[in-house]
Amino acid sequence: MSAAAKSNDLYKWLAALALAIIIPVLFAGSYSLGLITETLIFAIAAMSLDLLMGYGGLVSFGHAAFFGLGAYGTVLLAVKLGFSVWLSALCGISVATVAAAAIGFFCVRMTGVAFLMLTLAFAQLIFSVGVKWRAIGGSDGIGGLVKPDLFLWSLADPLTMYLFTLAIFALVLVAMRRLIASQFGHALVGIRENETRMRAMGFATQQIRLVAFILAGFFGSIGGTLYALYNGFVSPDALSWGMSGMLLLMVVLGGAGSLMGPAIGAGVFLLMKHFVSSHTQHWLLVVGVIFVGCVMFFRQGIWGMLKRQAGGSAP
Amino acid sequence: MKHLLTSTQSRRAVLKGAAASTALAFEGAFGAAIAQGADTIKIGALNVYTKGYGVFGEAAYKGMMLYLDENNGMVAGRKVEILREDDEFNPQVGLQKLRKLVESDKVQVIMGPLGSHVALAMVDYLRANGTPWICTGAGATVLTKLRLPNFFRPTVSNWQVAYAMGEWAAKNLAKDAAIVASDFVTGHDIANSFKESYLKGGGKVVKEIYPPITATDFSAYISDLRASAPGLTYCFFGGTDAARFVKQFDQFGLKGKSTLVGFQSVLDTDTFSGQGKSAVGGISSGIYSELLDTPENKVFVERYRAKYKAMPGIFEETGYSALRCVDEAAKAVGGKIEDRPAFLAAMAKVSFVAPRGPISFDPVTHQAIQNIYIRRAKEENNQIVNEVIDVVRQMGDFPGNKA
Repeated sequence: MSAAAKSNDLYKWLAALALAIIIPVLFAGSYSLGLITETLIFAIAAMSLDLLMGYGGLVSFGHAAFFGLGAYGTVLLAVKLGFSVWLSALCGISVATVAAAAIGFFCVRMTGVAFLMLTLAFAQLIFSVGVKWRAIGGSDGIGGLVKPDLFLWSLADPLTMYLFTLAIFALVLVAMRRLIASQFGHALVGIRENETRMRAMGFATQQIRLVAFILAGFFGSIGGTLYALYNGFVSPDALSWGMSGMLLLMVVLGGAGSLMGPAIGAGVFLLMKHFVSSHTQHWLLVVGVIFVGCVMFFRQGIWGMLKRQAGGSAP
Repeated sequence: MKHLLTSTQSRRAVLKGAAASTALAFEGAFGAAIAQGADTIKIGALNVYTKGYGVFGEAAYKGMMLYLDENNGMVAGRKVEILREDDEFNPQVGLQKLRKLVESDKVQVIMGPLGSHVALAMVDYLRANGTPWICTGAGATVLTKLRLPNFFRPTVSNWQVAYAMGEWAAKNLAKDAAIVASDFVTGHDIANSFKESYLKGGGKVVKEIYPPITATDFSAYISDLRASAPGLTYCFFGGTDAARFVKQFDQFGLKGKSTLVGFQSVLDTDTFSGQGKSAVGGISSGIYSELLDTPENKVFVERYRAKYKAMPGIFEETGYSALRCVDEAAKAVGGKIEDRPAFLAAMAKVSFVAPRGPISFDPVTHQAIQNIYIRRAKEENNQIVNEVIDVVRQMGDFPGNKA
């Protein structure tokens, strides 16, 4: 990358950052701010899934397991055992990451539909524990998480929550971009394209896929943890296959394999959900039609279409 | 306005729109003159309107609309706008919708929801936010223990209804019972309240079964019941599950052997249509019966039938009376519903004779003090209705909630 292009890139990022900080001033009402916060949270989760789907070519239908475990860990440890919320959050993320390692150990042996079914099966296992185990709230979920303080500010204030989420989002985005640009990222894409060749070249393809799976679980659980902090509440819904499906939709809608795409997909999906569902109970029908339209007419999702519009023919 | 219109349609639409806006402007000016400049009162009806429980959300909404009809769409002289949001019987969705209603639509009052798990998820947010919250369904006994100053429940507490039945059933029906209840907060709450009171009345519980909330086929559980052959079967299921259970209970031949006893929503107007004759003879406790022989109820039933061509049930009456509570309190503060401390203080003092009978609020817990009726389902003019066979008068909140 030339120096000029690099500084051009830097300006772009600075502009995005400035915009992200100005937005709360424009959207003074805490509702819109909450909506944007939620979008950022789901953007993190969708991006983490994209690491597997877009770059690894592994379509997971059980990503909610890690999202939910992060959320459950945070709420349960803080509410039931009286841990500090920050410590609970770290524990939640650790538990989810360990779970990702354990589940990934089995799942990465498969690809394609077998991988999809296996991830779904594991996620359903965790979901059924969440639904049936009454000590952790059962199907009622569990609430009462007191929003913690961040230095001088309380996360109960929507603006603090937003800025905190934005900071984490930026960190996750930078970390993932680094990962993808690294040798590991290239190897992952290589395995997606031609696993036999990569193996012949001496790459331990299964291990690389496992690392990708664990990392996706780790980043996904960060999203879940933020969701718990934002809601102060978690229910088995966060572990359900519906949640996994929603994350999948976000990735496909925005465009897999681009990081920014799933983030945009998350925004579009949540906005549709919020506004359409207020007007009709059949909101999923509307979302479905739009989804079909996007898949049919925008190759590589909304982000791919935007990029084509902006850069002429470049995808 | 509609999109995607053809040119002639759009011209017509424009004309219509112009006419409508003129009418609106006129009505606005006129209405403002009457209400002396007071704004609309916005009420958020956050409830479940889809899935198996949707019928109850609709029922409460119908009751509210009937009350508005009777009062020219006004509460304390101010126009009312009711904003419906569907919580999908899911706490996470409920919380999202609650935020939207409060922060985006800026409603002054929240009414709903049906699901106790949804209500419990709303507690922290509404405690911090302070918007008056009139519960029109969620019966979790613990809700009135939480002492939210802005929470009022002009409807059932699970404890009231289930506890009233326990002792009565032990004395009048049978001394051995099986309990079957849906495996979530409401199911356990109801089962425990019934059990406590049933044991106190000298009964014995021989079997307890908690099918998952998603169960659709109850045959395995019913075989289990048949094996233990209890004198009565106390059950709680919500929505369409209640209809299914009562039907299967009959189909598997248990109806003649074990008396079917249920929570109010198991055997009520909204479920009878799905249960048919299987419901006949079923005994339930509840805060209301459409056959109550009081002038208030007769007028209510007559008006309800005129508007909707159907019989009202518990949730229809609840929606109706809950909105009347808001109306009474708003009138007491001269329509200034925005003055929260005054409005909440007035809510606590609300007391009137509703179709269900006299209701008032416990000053500490804000639970409605009301009659609990023991009802038996019977067939009358090709319709299943609940006749009142006994009554526990002016039952208060769970004593443990006041401690």
